[in-house]
Amino acid sequence: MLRIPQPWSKKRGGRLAARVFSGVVGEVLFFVVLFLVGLFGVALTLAAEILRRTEREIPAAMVQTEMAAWIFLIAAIVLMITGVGGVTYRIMRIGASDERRAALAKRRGGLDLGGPQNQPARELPNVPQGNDLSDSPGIRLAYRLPSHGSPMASVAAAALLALLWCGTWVVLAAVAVSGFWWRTPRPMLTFLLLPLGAIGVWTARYFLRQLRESAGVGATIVEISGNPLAPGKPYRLYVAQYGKLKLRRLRVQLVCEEEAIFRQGTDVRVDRHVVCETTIFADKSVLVDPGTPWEQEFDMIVPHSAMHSFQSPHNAVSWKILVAGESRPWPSFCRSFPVVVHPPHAQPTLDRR
Amino acid sequence: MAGDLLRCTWQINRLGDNSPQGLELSVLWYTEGKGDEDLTVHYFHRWSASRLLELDLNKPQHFETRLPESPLTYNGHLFRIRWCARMRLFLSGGAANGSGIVAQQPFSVISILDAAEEPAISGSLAMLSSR
Repeated sequence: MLRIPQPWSKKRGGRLAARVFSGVVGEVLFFVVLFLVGLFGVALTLAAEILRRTEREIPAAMVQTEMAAWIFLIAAIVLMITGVGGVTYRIMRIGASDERRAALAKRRGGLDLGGPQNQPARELPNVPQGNDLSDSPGIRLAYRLPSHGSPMASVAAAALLALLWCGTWVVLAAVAVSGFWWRTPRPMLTFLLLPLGAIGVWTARYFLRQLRESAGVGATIVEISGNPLAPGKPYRLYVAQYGKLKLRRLRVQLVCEEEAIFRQGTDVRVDRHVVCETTIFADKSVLVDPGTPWEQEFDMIVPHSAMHSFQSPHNAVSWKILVAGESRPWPSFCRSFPVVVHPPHAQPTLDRR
Repeated sequence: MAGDLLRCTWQINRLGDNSPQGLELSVLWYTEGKGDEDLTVHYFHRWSASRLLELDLNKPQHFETRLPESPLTYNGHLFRIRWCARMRLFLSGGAANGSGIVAQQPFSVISILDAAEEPAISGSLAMLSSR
């Protein structure tokens, strides 16, 4: 049955609804139009400037201030550059095989602009070097791992949202009150203050909840004896949990996860799948006091047949150490500490226990 | 095995009336699976039509390249990493819709730990013309 396409619905079926060639033609035409519009704008601005300098009579539509002329000129030049760049890029892609384009891109990317001192000790293409994981020395073990997705970021974002919203509401309230004061009431604004105030209360409560969770759960410290990791090799791991907590369950895991980025219709989606999960530590009824944080050292081994860390534009294999706790009255938490696993025959890891 | 020398032999038979306009040889890896495809060329060589006249395409030709240490061949749940040697032949008259005729030989790049368990892989890059 013939389905009539609806402009507001998602594209279904195959990922490409049109032929590739017609898509390229459409893109080239779009960028050509951009270039022509930009050219027209530049010509218009220059013509107005020349007419102004020769002090002839200028059409009313072309009269503009000097600032407006500059803004218009810059916008037109940007349109021209975008058009030329787009057309050049699209035309370069025509008539070249995928391998040739990839080889050209690799050659461009391989240009050494930083000198020989910036070369890595051993080249491992598409494997994260993990240098940022080893720049923080630990107290018990060699390296302190940075946390992925720090809770402070969510607290700061919630604080900013609450401050901006409540600040705006206070200003609007002042305007409404001044209207009553000067006997020029603004009923619509006064009425809108109620729903806006309710949203403000929600942002403030959200901020307080984030702050409470962050302050209550406390910091999680993870240190490791080596970086990057290699399959089959043993490492020491130190985990410390601060705060005032009565945990129902606490788990420390080494997790390998695949990530795939793909287009579905007009959306870009990310799918994740846990490939392997090694439980390093699991216990029930763990008590954490402010004065005596929970801390332990473990032996850890990366599985022998593990895939190394991998990163490409649309696919990735990533490794991380997860510290997850179920607690009351605070909500459960799960903190992630990325690590890098290199191929087994690569450079020896810096194991400094 | 990763880091080893890869030696390839290739030849083209029965070209018929078509004259080759270009030939590309590449050693590359690509992903397949749920995520959009990523492709990286490790080795690439292109012959133009004039350079191809100097070659006897009916006889076996050789090239070699040292494989990188990563990425290793991978069979995952969401995506797979495949290595292959690929030959793309461009013929006169726009045969094969302008993108050339492609022949490829897949192979695996494995780690030193897996090398003892995997048998040695051999294949041939032989291409027959479309006629």
